[in-house]
Amino acid sequence: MSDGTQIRIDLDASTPVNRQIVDQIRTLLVEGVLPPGADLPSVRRLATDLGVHFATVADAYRTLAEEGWLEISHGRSARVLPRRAPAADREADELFRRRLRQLVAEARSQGVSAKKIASELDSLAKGMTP
Amino acid sequence: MNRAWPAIFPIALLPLIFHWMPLWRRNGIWFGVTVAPGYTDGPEARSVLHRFRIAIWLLALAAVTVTALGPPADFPWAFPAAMTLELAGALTAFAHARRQTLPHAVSPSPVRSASLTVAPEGLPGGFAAVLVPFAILGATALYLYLNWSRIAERFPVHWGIDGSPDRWSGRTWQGVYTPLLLGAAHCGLMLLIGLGILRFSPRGRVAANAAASAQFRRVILQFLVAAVWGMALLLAAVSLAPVLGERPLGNWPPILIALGLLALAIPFVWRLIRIGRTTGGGGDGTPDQCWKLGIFYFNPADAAIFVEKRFGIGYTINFANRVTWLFGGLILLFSLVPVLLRYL
Repeated sequence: MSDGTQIRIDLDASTPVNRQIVDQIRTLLVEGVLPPGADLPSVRRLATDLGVHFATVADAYRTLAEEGWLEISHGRSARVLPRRAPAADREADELFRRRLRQLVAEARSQGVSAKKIASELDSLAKGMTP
Repeated sequence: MNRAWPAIFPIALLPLIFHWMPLWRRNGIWFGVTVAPGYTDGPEARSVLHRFRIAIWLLALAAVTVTALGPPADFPWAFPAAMTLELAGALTAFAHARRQTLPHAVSPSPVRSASLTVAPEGLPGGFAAVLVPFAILGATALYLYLNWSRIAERFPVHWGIDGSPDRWSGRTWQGVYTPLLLGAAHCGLMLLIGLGILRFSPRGRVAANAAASAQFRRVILQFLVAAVWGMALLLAAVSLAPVLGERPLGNWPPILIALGLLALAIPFVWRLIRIGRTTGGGGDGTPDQCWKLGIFYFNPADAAIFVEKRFGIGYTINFANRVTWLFGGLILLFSLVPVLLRYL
């Protein structure tokens, strides 16, 4: 059952589960794996499949809805909305730089070359159309 | 002939089931505990199993002795006492085996996976599979209504182990329609459980076992639908007794009919056992500490209502979920139909 729309959470990870769900669904949305108009499982279905509380999934869906990715209505599955990327403000730029810096530092500390990091970043950025 | 011997049959069947039950499991689970791959083939695991089986057969011997004391008419408490002894004893033996296994537990994988695809799911066979059993019961009711004058004033509603009637009823609406109402209630109950499994059980939490979990779920649902059909056909046949005579199922002894029905379950059980063997390690996506006595699942942080059993085959319920109690209430309501019918 390994399709392109699988998400994985790690209950022992330091990142909260709702954050993990948001990050992974957002990645699939940005990559276009989940196109506008696609239905996502209901809160109950996804919570049951992952073995977490409804509130955890509901919170993740709410975050994505606030970002403009999803339309959620009570009793129905969530639907992906067409979304135009907003112009990044200074705060978003700063947050991106800070997180990228940490990630690059981690990759470098594990021996990944600067060239490899640059090419991966370039390929990822071009492959994603928000 | 000692009339207690039919009662000995279920008492002898139980230990046979308990004898094999520890082996009807997912790989990596032993007496309800997540263990390392390969542990179950080791001497410690085999020793726990051996002791469990000895306990089961000693209990069976005690239960058979109690039942063989005399005919049920003279010792009505003997059969219930023997069954209680076997069931409670087996649970205790299981709890003991689990305690012996716990020191060898390993942490289940904390990684869970889920698909974001929304595939439409339904009961096997769709609407037709669900409606046909009720149509059979309905058609039988209509036939009885149209042939009311042919119904005998007194007719059998229960048959003994040798096939001769031992309980009778009169030509009243309760007497004639009770088996059909019971059939409808039981079919409804089983379909309710099937729909519950479909909507409120995980589709596969551990990526390596997702395919096996999906297959397991499918076979369980097929089994439930087949059981609903079997139940409807059997109770429709029994309901026709007032018109067809004392033996609506022919001259077959009821014990053979019961065994035949049990035999129908064997292919499903066999498939489920084989699916369990194909699962990999990593557990079943439920934490060990949430399995009380290894049998009762209690996890408030889990949205699932139905989860796969760790001991035995099938699904059990998450007792910590409030919806479970609502669902349980509905099931109880359906189960009370036979009792309510007696007082109508």
